[in-house]
Amino acid sequence: MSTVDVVVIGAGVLGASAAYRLAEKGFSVEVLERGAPNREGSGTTAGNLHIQAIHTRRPGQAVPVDSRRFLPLQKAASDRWSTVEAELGEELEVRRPGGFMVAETEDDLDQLTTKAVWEREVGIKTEILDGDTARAELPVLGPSVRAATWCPDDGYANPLLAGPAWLRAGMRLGVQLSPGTPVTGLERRGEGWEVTTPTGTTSCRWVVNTAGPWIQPLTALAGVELRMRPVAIQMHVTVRVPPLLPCLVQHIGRGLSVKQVTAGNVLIGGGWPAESLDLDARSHASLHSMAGNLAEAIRILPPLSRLSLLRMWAGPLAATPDEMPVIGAVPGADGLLVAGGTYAFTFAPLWADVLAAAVLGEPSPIDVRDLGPDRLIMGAK
Amino acid sequence: MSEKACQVLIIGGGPAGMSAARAALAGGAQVVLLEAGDALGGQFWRHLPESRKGGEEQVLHHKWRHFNTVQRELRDDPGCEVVLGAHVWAIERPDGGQAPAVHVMVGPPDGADREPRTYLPQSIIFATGGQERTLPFPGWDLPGVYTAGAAQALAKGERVAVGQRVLVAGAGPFLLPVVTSLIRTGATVIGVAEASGWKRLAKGWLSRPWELAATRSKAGELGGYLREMVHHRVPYRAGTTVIAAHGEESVESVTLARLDADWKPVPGTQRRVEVDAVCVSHGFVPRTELALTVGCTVDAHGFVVVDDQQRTSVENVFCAGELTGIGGVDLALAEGEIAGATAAGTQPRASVVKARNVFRAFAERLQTAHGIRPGWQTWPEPGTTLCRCEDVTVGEVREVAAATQARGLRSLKLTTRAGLGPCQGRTCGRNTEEILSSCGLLDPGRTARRPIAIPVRLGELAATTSSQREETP
Repeated sequence: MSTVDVVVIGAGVLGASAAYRLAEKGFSVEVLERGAPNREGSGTTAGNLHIQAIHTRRPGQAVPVDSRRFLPLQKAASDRWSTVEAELGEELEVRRPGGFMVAETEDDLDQLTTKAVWEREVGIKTEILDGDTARAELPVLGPSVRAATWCPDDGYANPLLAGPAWLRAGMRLGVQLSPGTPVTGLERRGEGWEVTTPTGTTSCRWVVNTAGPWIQPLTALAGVELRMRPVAIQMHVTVRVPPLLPCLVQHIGRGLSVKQVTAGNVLIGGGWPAESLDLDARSHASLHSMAGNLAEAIRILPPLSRLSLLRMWAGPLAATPDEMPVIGAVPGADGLLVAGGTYAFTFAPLWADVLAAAVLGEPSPIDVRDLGPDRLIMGAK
Repeated sequence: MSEKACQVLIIGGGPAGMSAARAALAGGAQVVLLEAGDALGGQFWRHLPESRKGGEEQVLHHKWRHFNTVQRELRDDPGCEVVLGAHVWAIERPDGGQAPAVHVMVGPPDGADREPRTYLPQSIIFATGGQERTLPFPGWDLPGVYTAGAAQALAKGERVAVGQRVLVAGAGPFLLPVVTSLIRTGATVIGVAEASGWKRLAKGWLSRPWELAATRSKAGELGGYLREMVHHRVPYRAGTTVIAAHGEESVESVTLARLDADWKPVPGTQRRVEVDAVCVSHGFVPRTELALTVGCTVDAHGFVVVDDQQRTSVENVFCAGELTGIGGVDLALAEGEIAGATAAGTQPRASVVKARNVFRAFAERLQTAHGIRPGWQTWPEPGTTLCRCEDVTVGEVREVAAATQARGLRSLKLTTRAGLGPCQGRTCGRNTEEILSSCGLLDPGRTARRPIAIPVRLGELAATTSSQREETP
């Protein structure tokens, strides 16, 4: 049996950033990963840094995101991302070209105006433009766009570089990574935990569960049932084309998020549901969602119509019933922390700080008491 | 978008697909045959452009009369719908035994208004064929370096020779008809370099010689090519290949080297030869993207696994031709006939089952004698291009694989961009897989697995939304 201070479950972007931060604070850390690092949600996300208020409802999503509650977190995450590359000493292709959030209907316009007020309250600089002004700024916008907000802080990072870079930085500080090592048991032992895998048992004081779609079954191993369920959403990418879209474009009322990456491909998403979720292999993308998502994209950005779709894929995310993130200590399971839920990529560096503070017993860098797992508990053992 | 039920849907109008269509019709089935090109015949029976058709079309074609007969039969049979310019871009396989939905765009690929169609077949026969595999070496992307298939297509389709002093290099009997075509279009072929050595060639071709008697037609065909080569004094070197091409604007010379049994160059055997064109072909790979999409099991070499009736691991899905193993036209014709007959619910003829088995044994000889050996991975230099679409070098891929903990094929592909271009990894996919596999992958996979089989314009895809199923709640 080996002993470490902290076992992190899941080597996605959250597990990697948390492991790095904990190691930096002087803890010994082992990361247990059931498959390959950065392969699931963290390797299939678009990698957007959502700073202005997002579209509150994925297609098929029952409850909207509470945008007002989200915004201070987004502001903090935005500030946090501006130092990540310097901290890791690696290029993660963090880009802040800014982003438009477009509105088409009367209802969209109301939402746009309301959220712009909330953004100003927390210090996110957004500007409201009427349709013609927006089209003058970004001529590829279509005629149905009636207004848009512009946020200079919106951006993206390369999700295939970010998670692995945090892992490498953590490993330089002594983090042990065990890929292909699923956790099969989580037992309370004295002051800490015993974490069982097919290759052995690790004893530790703290367990940080950042397993994305597996958060719920892993917490259940400790006897706590969280109300979370994995869903799969899909992404679409076109062939490489000359510069066409210099910034992000999203829709306030529809599932649509578009950007052109450095290589020239246009990436189109917006949380459309995949055909099926398959946690043992790759989830299947749906042609129905594809057609729906692409129809939105070419209505808002008509020149996209003549580009060819090259690939599409689906990846999992961990959804909570209220669509808000979950982060904090699991009540009744001392030393067990979870972090996950929506927009984990945007929040990765922030959540790492929050988790490290919780393990150290220090005050949280941002108030997340209302986002703890207690609200998701069905019944503790 | 129209939806159309059909009994047997055949994808691919080359020898295997045509043979399957004919057999399924003979078995009483109603057949739809989809062909992406503008004529039936596939790569094997390639046509002259319409404007230059003449009586001599059969000169460079093997079994041309058979092709004409089958084409006429299919055209005249009211039970057969031949759709040319038909590009299958996705196949949906619903749960619960419903018919799969095969989504097709009909029309020229760069045309503005292609017609979207969806077929709901009871059975599918994949006859999507194979494509050449070219191994990378320094200078393989210089102008003047052709795939043997491209040279053959120019000769057969356009009557154009790729150069004056041409070297043909690679592995397998396909090099021989290319030599013949080049000679007939006026080129001087200065030599043929076969990568496999005499020992391996003998093991593949000379063991159990009595079995070869059954493949007389095949042997006769090859014999014809050999006679022509000898007549034109074209030297044939076994255990030799081109490991580099040199030139400023285009290829001016190549480096030839002797290879060991693993295809590693033998030190001290390199020599320069002046050429103005090189044709290379190292073998063929199956075009399995559609078969993989519906979930057909493939073997370790990437070929679709089929039973004696050409059934795949997926119910009511059959494969015929190069998809199941590289065996040439005779095997494709036999497999097509068996698949077509079985899909129509009839028994294939005993003689054709026997022929299939004989030609399959022939295909195995081909693999024994000419199959690609791992030593090729020592040919490229770090700066040698691996993926031409995305301009990724062998060195970059190896560096990323060594530096990253994300040892999955998919993430390595996405990080290096190898295989992400418009050819969707068809050209470099297998080479990339093998180079990455030798770096120790935690999560291997196949680059051919993709939900969108070919690039399709967003406008066309968005237009398919109107007749899709009801909005999901």
